[in-house]
Amino acid sequence: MLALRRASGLRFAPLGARSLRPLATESYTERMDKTGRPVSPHVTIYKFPAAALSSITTRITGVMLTVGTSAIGAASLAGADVPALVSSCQLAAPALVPVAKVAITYPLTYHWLSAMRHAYWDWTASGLHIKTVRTTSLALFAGAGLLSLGFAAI
Amino acid sequence: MAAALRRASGVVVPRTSARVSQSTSAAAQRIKTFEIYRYDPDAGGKPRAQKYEVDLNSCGPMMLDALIKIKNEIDTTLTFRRSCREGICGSCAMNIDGTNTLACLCAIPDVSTKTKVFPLPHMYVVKDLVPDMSNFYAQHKSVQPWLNTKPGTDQTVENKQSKEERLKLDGLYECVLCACCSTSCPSYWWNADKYLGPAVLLQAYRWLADSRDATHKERLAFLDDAYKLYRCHTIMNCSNACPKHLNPGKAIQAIKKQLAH
Repeated sequence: MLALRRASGLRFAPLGARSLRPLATESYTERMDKTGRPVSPHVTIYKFPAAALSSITTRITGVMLTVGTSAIGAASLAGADVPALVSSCQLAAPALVPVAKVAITYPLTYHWLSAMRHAYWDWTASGLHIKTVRTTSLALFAGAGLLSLGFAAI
Repeated sequence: MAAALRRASGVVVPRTSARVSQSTSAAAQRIKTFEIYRYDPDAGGKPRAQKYEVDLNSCGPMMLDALIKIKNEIDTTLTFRRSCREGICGSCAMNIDGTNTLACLCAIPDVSTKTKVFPLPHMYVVKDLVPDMSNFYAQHKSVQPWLNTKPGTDQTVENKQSKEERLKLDGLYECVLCACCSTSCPSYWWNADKYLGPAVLLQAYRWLADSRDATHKERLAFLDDAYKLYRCHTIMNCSNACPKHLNPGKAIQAIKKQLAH
């Protein structure tokens, strides 16, 4: 087989080695995926600091608010009387009213406060020492908790 | 150990005598379990976790000491990068108990707990704790990590800075490019092809902050990109992870501020 290849003048290169050669159109990830190398564990093993949890909460609350307001808007467009729906829900399950209120006010207040911190970071490029970020992250969680309870009590 | 002995015997033993008994008694071992990520490209198959037990009484104080002891005495096939053992080469970066750090600067955690060791997160693994770093290095090169002087600058004389100008580079030039920060960043995990990541952006800022550099505008124009720079969402895992106590998150924010003004 080898002799044949030599005789025919064909250059032998294993498939693996050929696929390692970068092509201009190929990204690093695409090139690496072909090597069969595993990607090391990430989200599941990382110990996220308070700052990171605060960041992902901003994202999650943002998604909740977007989905919530879009759903209300879509329902109204479809002809539903949303205020009347809310009233009937209040009558049907009065015990759930405070819970439902907090479920709305917490994402709202948390997202507001976090957005204000982001604006501060963007304008000043300060308040970014890791101890400060940890403190402000914990303050966001607690502050949003207090504010949302306050709003829910109205 | 002394505390464990005291608890076991129910007697309060002065610290010094406990230490003496520990060195003389063969039974007084401090066995610590390490669970280490293993992947062998030649054997194929999936990565696995392997447990090793080490007596800390005959081991140095740092995680790198434990890894070297395992390689020397238990399993020679265990593969990891290391060189200076004093936090200046950046080779032994890995994920220890969920946080990225340099093994040589990380004290072995308490003997009572099992310590888990993984390669740097979301990287292509060459073998065991050795990830492929080629993308990281290519990205570093892309920000031109060198001084660009004005054409016609006299290269035979010193290119001087004031003390104040030099002071601006503190906290930037000390980076050893270990990649602990970049591989701690979820944005970098999901966008490694396009987002430069905290380590490279810190180096980009190191040259933006240099009073002698003549390509400030070009450097900013290069970074003004939805992916290269603006995938940073100020999650701050980078600054939390940095074993040199630098602040890449703040440096990235400083670049954004320069672009906004």
